[in-house]
Amino acid sequence: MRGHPDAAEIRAWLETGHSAPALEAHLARCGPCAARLEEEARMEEALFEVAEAKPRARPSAAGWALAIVAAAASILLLLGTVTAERTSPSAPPHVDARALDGGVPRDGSVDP
Amino acid sequence: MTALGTTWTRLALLGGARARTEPELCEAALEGDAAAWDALFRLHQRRVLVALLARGVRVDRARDLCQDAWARLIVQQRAGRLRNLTLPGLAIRQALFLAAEENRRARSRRPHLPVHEVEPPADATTFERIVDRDRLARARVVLEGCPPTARRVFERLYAEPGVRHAEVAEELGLSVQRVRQIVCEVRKTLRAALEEGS
Ligand SMILES: [Zn+2]
Repeated sequence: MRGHPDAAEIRAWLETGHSAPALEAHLARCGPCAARLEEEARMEEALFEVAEAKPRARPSAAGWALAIVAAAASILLLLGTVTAERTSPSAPPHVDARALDGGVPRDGSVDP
Repeated sequence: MTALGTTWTRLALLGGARARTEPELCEAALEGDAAAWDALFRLHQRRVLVALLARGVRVDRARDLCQDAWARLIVQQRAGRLRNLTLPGLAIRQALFLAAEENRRARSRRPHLPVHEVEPPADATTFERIVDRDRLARARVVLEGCPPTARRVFERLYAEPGVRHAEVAEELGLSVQRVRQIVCEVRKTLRAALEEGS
């Protein structure tokens, strides 16, 4: 391929993910272009994350009333917990190792 | 048209004697259907590739790791260790795990390599999100402020695997050119929102 691909060319390739041997060979050995590719891929990944994120809930008037009741209830619960913690010994926290490594065991196997 | 309906259409467009929905493909893949594995790979490979590239994996390695991740999943299915398939998350986690493993091996073989040659992608096994919660919420607000058609175009193209511009255009009664233009505008708007304060 001729010269360095510009950001638009890299973006167009990322949009399809189709095989483009000449472009990919250049991106694999040219440092500045590899850096640009990473930057463009980060943005593409960010767009996936935005699209996949749950839309924010827009609470109705009834929703707001429920939210206020729930907030009040959680404050009462919190006060209760604080009082209880003062009087009873706490249990050691439980840590799930699978949660820490994202559910992928050390041997690389992925169980459902 | 529902998302499932459009996925069905898409798979029909991809060709093959019998079109199947993505859940059907997953079910068939879990029973060892090689054609179903191939179809799922085609649907999700771009997403897995982008996930690797975004974490600094070199493009040629990223291509190989995509294939390897899929091969690993198939091996696990054959060994009866895969009971459900949540894609593309499972394939991404597997690919990122393999990338980290490869880097660990390279580092132990050649401990004096310059760091940038073998630096593992950060948090490879945790599949950490690129966007932090605050920026994500801000970008989401911006997206919800876009015109409904623009939002629909963006969400169809980015939240559904393998969807094509032509398909979205037909579904929404727009020209392909207009769909491209819309997605370009939404991307630009979101880029600005995401870059703010990053
Ligand atoms: Zn270059």
